[in-house]
Amino acid sequence: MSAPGSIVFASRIEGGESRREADAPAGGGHGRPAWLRNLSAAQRFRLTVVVLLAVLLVAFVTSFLIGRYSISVSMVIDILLSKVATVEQYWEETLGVVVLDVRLPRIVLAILVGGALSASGASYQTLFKNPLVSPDILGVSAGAGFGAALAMINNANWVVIQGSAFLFGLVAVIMAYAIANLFGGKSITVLILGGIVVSSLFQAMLSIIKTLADTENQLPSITFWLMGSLGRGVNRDVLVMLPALAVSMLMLVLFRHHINALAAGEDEARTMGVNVTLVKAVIVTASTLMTVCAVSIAGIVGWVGLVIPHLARMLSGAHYSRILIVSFLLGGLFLLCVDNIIRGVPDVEVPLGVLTAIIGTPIFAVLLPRLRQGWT
Amino acid sequence: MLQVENLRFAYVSDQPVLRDVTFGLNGGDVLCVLGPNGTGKTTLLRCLLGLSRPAGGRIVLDGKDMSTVSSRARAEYMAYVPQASTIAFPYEAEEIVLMGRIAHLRVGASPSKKDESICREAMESLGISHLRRKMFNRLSGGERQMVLVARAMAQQAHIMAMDEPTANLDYGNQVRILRLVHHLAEEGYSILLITHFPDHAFLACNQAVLMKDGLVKARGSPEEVITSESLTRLYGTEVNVTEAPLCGCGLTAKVCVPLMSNGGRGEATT
Repeated sequence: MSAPGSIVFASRIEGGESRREADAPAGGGHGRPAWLRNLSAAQRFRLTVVVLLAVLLVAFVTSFLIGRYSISVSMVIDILLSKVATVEQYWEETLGVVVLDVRLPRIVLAILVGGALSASGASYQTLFKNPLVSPDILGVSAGAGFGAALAMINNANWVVIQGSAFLFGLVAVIMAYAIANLFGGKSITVLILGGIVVSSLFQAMLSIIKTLADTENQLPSITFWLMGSLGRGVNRDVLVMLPALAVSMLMLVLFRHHINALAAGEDEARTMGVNVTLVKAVIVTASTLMTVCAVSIAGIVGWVGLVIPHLARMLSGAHYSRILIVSFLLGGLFLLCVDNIIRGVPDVEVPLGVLTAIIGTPIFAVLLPRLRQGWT
Repeated sequence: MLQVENLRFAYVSDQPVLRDVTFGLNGGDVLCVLGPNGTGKTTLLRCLLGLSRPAGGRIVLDGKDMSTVSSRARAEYMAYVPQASTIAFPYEAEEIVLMGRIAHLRVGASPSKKDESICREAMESLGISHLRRKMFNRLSGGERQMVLVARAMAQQAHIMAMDEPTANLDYGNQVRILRLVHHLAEEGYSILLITHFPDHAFLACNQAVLMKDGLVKARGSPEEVITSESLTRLYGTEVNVTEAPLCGCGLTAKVCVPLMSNGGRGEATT
């Protein structure tokens, strides 16, 4: 036996090809400047967060400039500040209403919805250790879609439509969870199966409602709802979503390292001392709460929750504690930009879910070669 | 230290996988479990690790019955080294090792400097410090196995359970892993090792358990337990355990040679 503390190793384990490949920088980015590559993962994360926050702040303020009423940046800032501090009013009353009651909720909701979908997508991908999973994997969207459509054919008002979407989104996830527990015991994979089964059930019921809906108003509104929009967002929505989001994110942040261990697989995580049952419940509760809020406010917005977590991983590595935060910021920024385009095009309102995919897919295709480096 | 008494387990109640398994593991022991496929070796490991609930019998660790212990408390006693597999996302090797500190981490807390230095020391003692920032998925099978051992060391449990750590590794890496097992035992770890290579028992283990059909057929030191007769019975194919001279120094090593039928290469030596 050689001296303790120095065993023979891995440096010599394999020559040639695989060694050179392993020498590529972690986090995958060939063609990055050396100073960026030399940063530790934690430093790169901090840098990413600071840059994203700065960009988000700039995007937030400039987003107020888009729309029929033109307005200057300084006036936007003054109007916003007038809510929290005493600023002498020098703007027209309508401009104040436009900024505070029309543009502000829509801009804030774009960030919150994009962030919520991305954060729950990142959580589910880590839980199921599957890069193909999106926030609606447990049937939230299908359930919410059914709920919204059900309210619409009963000519309910918008608040009831939202409430019904919220309720049935929750019902769908609870059903998926119950089915999984009934048949699969503790395994995580059957949860996906439960979600798929419940999704198709609610999609079938949604189809029934579509055939019952009148083609004048109800069917178009169901169709548009299913394509997503932030056009009906009001400040009340923000007030509902903000606390739900805060609680959910707090839960996820508290358990971030335990959730991270789940990426190694359920069994391995358990042998490392993770209470998998508890952590799974935390993820499902938090992600469902965030997603159901997002969906009941904005309708179905696909793509974001599936793809943004991958971009986050590319920026700051796979550790859950980092992709949770980066996904949130990146998703918020992305959806804000997409919604700005929608608001910027006069007279027509392109559905949000349509545009996210149309804009997002080319971006994704360009980044795919880099993304793939970390996949198996 | 670890006592397994009359352990029973069944996935379906009338088809027991483990019928009656009893053995012990002391500090510094390297115990290998040998047996044909489907004989319950991995199930035994799963029971020990708390991943499967035994139908009967007891697992006692330092006088404590393990059936009532939380996964966190169990993780402080026993670490698991899985077969080197890939992980779905681009983790760096050091991040994988840091996962081993979870059992020592309060909810909400981040790994401290101390946690990080424990991980760094584990990697250093295995000679894999240079892999710290490398992507786990792009390491070779041998390197990945080392990282997983480092993770188990970072967990600071006294017992390490390894499930076929040499599977899918080339010959050189198999030997390196066996040296590592030897080394870990010298450092005071108790190791439970599942393997398909009886030779490995002679090379790295001081205890062997032969299992078949959910029963322990023999246990003791490899020299006593692993014989031509026992291996032939265990695997249902003729095996010869013989001594081979080591070059120059006059020592011999025990080796297992399977007998090939119809004038195969093995038969020429008998």
